[in-house]
Amino acid sequence: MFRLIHLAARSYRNSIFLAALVLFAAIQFSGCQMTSANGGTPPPAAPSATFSFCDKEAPSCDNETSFSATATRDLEVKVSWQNVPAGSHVQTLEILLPGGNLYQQTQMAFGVSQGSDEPLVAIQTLPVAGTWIQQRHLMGEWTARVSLDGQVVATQTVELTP
Amino acid sequence: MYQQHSIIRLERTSWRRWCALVTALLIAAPVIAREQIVLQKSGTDPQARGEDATLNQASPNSNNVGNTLTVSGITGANDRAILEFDLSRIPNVGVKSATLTLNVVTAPSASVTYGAYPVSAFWQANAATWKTRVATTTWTTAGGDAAATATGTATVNASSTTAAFTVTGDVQNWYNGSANYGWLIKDQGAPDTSTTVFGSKQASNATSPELTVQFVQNVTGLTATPGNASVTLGWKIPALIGTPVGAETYKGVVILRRAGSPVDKSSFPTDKVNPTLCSTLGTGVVVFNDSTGQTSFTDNVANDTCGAPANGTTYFYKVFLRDSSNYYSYQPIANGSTYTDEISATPAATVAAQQNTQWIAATFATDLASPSLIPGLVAAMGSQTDLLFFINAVSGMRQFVPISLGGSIASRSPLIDAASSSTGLDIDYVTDQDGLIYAINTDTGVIDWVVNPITSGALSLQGGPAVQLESVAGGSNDVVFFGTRNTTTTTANQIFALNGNTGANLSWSPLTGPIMVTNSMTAQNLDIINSTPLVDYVHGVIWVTSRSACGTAQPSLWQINPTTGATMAIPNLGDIDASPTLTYSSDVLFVGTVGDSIVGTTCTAGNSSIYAINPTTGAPLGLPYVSTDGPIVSYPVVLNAAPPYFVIFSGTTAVHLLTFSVSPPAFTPVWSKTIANPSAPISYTGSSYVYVGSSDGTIHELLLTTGADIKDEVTNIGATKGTVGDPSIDEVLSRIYVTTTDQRAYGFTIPF
Repeated sequence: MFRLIHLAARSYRNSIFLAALVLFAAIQFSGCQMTSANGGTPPPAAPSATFSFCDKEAPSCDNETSFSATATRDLEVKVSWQNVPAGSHVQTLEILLPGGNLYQQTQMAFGVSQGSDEPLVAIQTLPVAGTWIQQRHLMGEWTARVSLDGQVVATQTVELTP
Repeated sequence: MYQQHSIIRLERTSWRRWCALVTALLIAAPVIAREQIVLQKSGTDPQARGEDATLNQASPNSNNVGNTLTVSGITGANDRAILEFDLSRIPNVGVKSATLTLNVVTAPSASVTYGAYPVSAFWQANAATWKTRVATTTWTTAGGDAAATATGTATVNASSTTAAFTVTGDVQNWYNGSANYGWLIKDQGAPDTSTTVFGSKQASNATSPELTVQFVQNVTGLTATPGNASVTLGWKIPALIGTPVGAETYKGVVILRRAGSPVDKSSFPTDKVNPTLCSTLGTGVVVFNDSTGQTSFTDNVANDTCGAPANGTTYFYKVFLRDSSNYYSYQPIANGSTYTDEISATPAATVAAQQNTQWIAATFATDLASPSLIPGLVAAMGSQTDLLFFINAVSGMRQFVPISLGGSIASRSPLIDAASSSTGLDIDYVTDQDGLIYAINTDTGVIDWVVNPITSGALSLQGGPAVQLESVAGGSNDVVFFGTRNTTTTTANQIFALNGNTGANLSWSPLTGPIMVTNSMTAQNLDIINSTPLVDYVHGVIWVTSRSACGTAQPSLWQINPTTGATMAIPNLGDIDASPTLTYSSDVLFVGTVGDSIVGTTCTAGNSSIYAINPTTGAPLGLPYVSTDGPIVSYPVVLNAAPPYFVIFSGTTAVHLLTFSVSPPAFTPVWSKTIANPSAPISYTGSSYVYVGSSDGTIHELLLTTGADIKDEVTNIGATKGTVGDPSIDEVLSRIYVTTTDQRAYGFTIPF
């Protein structure tokens, strides 16, 4: 099941402001390397995404990379998007078994407003406890792969242990 | 020098013009594929699974199904058409091109361009509005969830009579594992003042939407017969189901072979190219290349110059039907084609050691539930790509194009034949992880009903539904039971009972934890339910297993009166994920636990137990059997009709057979057989064998009396080896069916 949230915490914005300052300075000192070939406005950055995995019941998410299938009822797969252009989009999240076979594929549509600078996070819950993962001992290094509008943007591994 | 340069430049310009001319001619030439069909509602094609509606921004809660579809870009009053086709007439085809045509009823006053966007979420025409897609479930984005870019566009002006969209990629994807939710037609220039009215499915047939598909069929009747260092393949070239395009004819096949694993989806001959015999295409070798219409091939040292099969090795064959222009039966798309018919066999020196699949069918994602059956006719299986498959049990071919549902299907979906169902239909009840429950006609694929049984939000569902048949239990209709897996609570999960004919909640449904029970003065917490309930016709009750917060402080086995909802709770068993099992006479109920417990603050694995329960009183019969082999997989199975009962179950590392004597009640272990990550075991009345799937990619045939591993049948033991799921046995055809994590379903003859 998918959830989509727009993170709007003040501390998050402060972090982004700080990052923007650093980025601005870097651009100034790099001789405008981000300008386009014709010397006009910089080309838009390509969309990117980062993963984090959380035990849904844990009081906090420490972005762990290994989880016990016995102790973890649900694994939350969080995809944080950056540089997604305004408009409608479809995210496809594939969860691959150790060995590479496809376990599950889900799609989610979302929209980005013009001028929006809110961080965009899509969350999918992967049921673990009592599912085939635990019953059939599907342990090892799993892979999450996310696509935006049909183009693969990011992959990340996560380990499930007995 | 100047002159010379000038001449060269002239030559280059001329050459470029020539190239451009040839390219233009090639582009203008018709795409030649073998067959073409136009899908449109007609006297012979009801388009039963097709549907359409208009989503109206100005009336965001109104459902608009009628004789027309409207598309408008007016600010604040946008209209979008949403439509889906029934592809049942072409269930086993490789799509080469597809064009969507909408017939204009009222043209716009000015030129306007529309886009066809593939929809990304399940919807139903009778519920779809600007805000809502099905039942009470809303679109993520009001106005319909769809791709960011249009697959095809069409420009319509005041004199247009049609709008044609090239949608080849979408239709190919639908035959290759993507859910088919149809298209959303949007005004690409919005906001503007243009409005166009198109004919809908409800309209006269002549103005209904059309989908023109060019395709190549699969071969039919594919068989593989192993011999001594040989495999003989047989197939049939299908009869036409469409109109021939040009003068093309089916004229043969190209066969790819791979050892150990199926030929992967990126391996196929390129359209319009004749591959070289013995060449390698991806992971497959071209072992047969025929253009003369042959319908068999014996792969042995006499016929196969690429290398004859070796005894003891399992070979997978993918058979591509070709037409006279060398178009092949596959989908030429970027992420590969999983569609083409395939089969396997293992040659051996002795007949006893030979083996072969009866069929292999693509399911596109992991499914480990036992396929549900109408024996001899249909095997149904879900997929975690939101698809539900109905496979012809004899041929392994799709009965029809898989049904696209709202979410992953992670459980067995009970299949009720028309003679037993209160609906009078062959019906399949399904739960999915979109929180929806479905009743699906297995003869047509039409969704008879779909409900979200709560008024807002979505349920978390993992276990499958159980069906109490009116034809056995009485009452006025079948009843569908299932429980929720809401992991945000260990106390307040729910048990539902729905009218099997309508999907409506029974008067007492849902039961929500904490539940007032008949055998305690205090309400009892209800943790998550991962299992499928069990219908007990003898005692007139429903049995439900649940977790119990990783301990024994709350119940995990529940007995429910299906008429009143009165519930008895059987305490202190611990977490249960497996479904319960009754003996044939229903005098003993067996349940197997997970065996975990809280250590410190963490739920930790431990010893599981098999309990025998008196189904009348709910009291345990004697002491449980304690297993050191991890959680019980799926369910225990009772193999005989009278005590002492033979009870078989799987743990993490082995299959175990116990006997249970009723008087005095006691378990006695008989044998344990080590099998890598075994599935639930299965057998059938009168059989000498037990069958179990494994993570080693095989199905093991164990001797019932001793557990000896007699013979294994290979699903996939090579590079893409999968874990084999819970088997189903079809006693009519003497076959066993499994699904695996290698994204396929397999059928074998039993005994092996």
